Amino acid sequence: MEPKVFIYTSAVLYAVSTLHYLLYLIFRKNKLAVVGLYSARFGFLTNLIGALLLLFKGGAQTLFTPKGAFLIFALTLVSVFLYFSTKHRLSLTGAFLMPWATLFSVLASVSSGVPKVELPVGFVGVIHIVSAFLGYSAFMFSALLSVIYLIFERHLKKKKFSVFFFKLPSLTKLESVIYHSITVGFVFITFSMFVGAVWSEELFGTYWSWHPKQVATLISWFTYAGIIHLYLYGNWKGKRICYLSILGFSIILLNFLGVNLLSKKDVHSFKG
Amino acid sequence: MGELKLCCLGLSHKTAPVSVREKFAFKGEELERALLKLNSMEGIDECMVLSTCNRVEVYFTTRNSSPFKDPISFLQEFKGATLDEINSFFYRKVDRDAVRHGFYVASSLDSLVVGEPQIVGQFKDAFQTAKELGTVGTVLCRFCETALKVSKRVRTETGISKNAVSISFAAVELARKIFGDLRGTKVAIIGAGEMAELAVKHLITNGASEVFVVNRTLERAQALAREFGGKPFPLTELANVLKLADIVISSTGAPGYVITKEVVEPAVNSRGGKPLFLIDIAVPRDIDPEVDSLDAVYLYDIDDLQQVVEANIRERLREAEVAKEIIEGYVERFLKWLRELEVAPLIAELKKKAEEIRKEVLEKRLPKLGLTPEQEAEVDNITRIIINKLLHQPITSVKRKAVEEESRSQVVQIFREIFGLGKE
Repeated sequence: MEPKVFIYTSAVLYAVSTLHYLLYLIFRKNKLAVVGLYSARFGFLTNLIGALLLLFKGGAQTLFTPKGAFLIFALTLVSVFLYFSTKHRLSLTGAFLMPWATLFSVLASVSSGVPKVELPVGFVGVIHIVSAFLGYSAFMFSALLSVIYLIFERHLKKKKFSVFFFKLPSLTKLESVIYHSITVGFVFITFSMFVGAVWSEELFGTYWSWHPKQVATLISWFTYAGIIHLYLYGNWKGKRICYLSILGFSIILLNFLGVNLLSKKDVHSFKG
Repeated sequence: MGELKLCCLGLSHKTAPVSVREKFAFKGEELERALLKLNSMEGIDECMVLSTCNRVEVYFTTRNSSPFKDPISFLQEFKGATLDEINSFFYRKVDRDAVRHGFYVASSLDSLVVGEPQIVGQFKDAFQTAKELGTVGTVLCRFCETALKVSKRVRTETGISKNAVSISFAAVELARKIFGDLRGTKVAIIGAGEMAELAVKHLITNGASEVFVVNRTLERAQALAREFGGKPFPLTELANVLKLADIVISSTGAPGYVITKEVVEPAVNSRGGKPLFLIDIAVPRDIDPEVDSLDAVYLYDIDDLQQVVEANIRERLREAEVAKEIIEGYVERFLKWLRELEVAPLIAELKKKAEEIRKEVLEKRLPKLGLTPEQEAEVDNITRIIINKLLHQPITSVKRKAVEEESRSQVVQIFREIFGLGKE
């Protein structure tokens, strides 16, 4: 089987899911959210199969092409979404998250999957990239949930009884999920950095070489370490943790773009 | 004799004012007498009466061509109603409409406050009373059981009874939108008043752990505090109480603002972004609206709470539409069952007749063949199988046709004629 069949299917299923979640936001019918959830689940399955096929056909280095990166990003984003939304009954987040998953899987469908640089990517490399994207996805989820929190908070304050009022749990609950997903992201990023260092030693004989990406990740890592400390010991609760979470993810985005623009030859730039 | 019909004759808050509803209400022993009287009427097979403060409905099955004749004359006799009254206040529903209406009622879609839960219990009681007196049989039993099942499904699968429709419950619901689980939250009540006290009670049942009672006089505060198991404070201590409480309910008779921005601000600053929920039920208001401009403070006055209630009612009506979709499926299934029930005696008769013919022929012919007992048993089996196979098609067809609206009575008639079955 061609991986692209599965990649296209997952893009379509994610689009269906997005559509239903957006309609859910408008019409508030629980049925719509159920359809959204199931299409996301099936999309996740096809996405996973697509990624595995790509991995076995082209070798682990295909994960370091644009196609592979977008595919893994969509996959990890949806897995984070499925985990948190079903655990905490946050169907509404689908309307904010699934559009991105759709975009990434569409980009994965159209972008190149042929690696330009030959890289001896082994098992360690796969673990490194997957845990990095799991970390990014968790941070992205927390940032999007922070946006939802801020809207919900505003509606509560302005006495606007919208879909946020009726279909979300409490502010406190949202806040705890935001914090939870930040810690999950932090664990994965830390793990990914550790695995990356091990891998770097294997490839280049050094654990740390001050590559732009490494520096950028270190900055993000310290940012989130700071956020967690502020939340726990600095009493930065409520809206403040939301602002911090959005700030943290913006730094990650800036780093991501910066690294891709600045260092064309770096292993982290996902060039096809 | 016509076909069996399930009917409903009733009035509700939608069709009759309270003066009429109370006239026709059946209470306790009167209800039992009424049921027995109704049941003894010739045209009525089964009956039950649902009588609540918002509705009086008679559900019954009949074969009369004018189905409502008997119940109407019953009402005239029993309640001294005039025909005029009955015509202007009562609705008459037959078959599909009656079944659907009954399911709507049991699911609280027809209630004054859509989704209110009492009607389920009242429906259950009405059914129980009728069952004890033996005035309901196969059809109404099944009808009530289905109605109760539907109502349970509607309650669990739709949000029809989810959102609060009273001011004090709306306050609790808002608190839960802010704090989630109310366990461990601290509540302060300033002043006293029925609605405020009710809200505090709801908050306590939902898990609020501490209650601070603030009053102008310490004595009054102490009295109320005993009632809630809380701590009393004089009004002069207000600033300190605000620092401790998560939810503040204010309901004093003071002419001006009791809680101003200057009092709340230091309290909010000491909370580190943790939300503070202020509820102002007093008129004139106790809490300066300026307070709402503070961060992480949610101030709701009585009008805001009223708006929550209205939004919730709209949300319930939305959910009612979902409920109607669920109910429609049950209505269809119930009617199908009812129609098939109608042809059940016909089918039994046909099977009996076939069996009689088979027995008769076998008794006459079998001895002449001189077969061994094993062979005789085999022949017996074979004839049985032939009859079953032969009858299978007509039975399924007549069952199917029985469900269809137009051709129903004709089909039954033709079926009787073709198979030479006795007249009804």
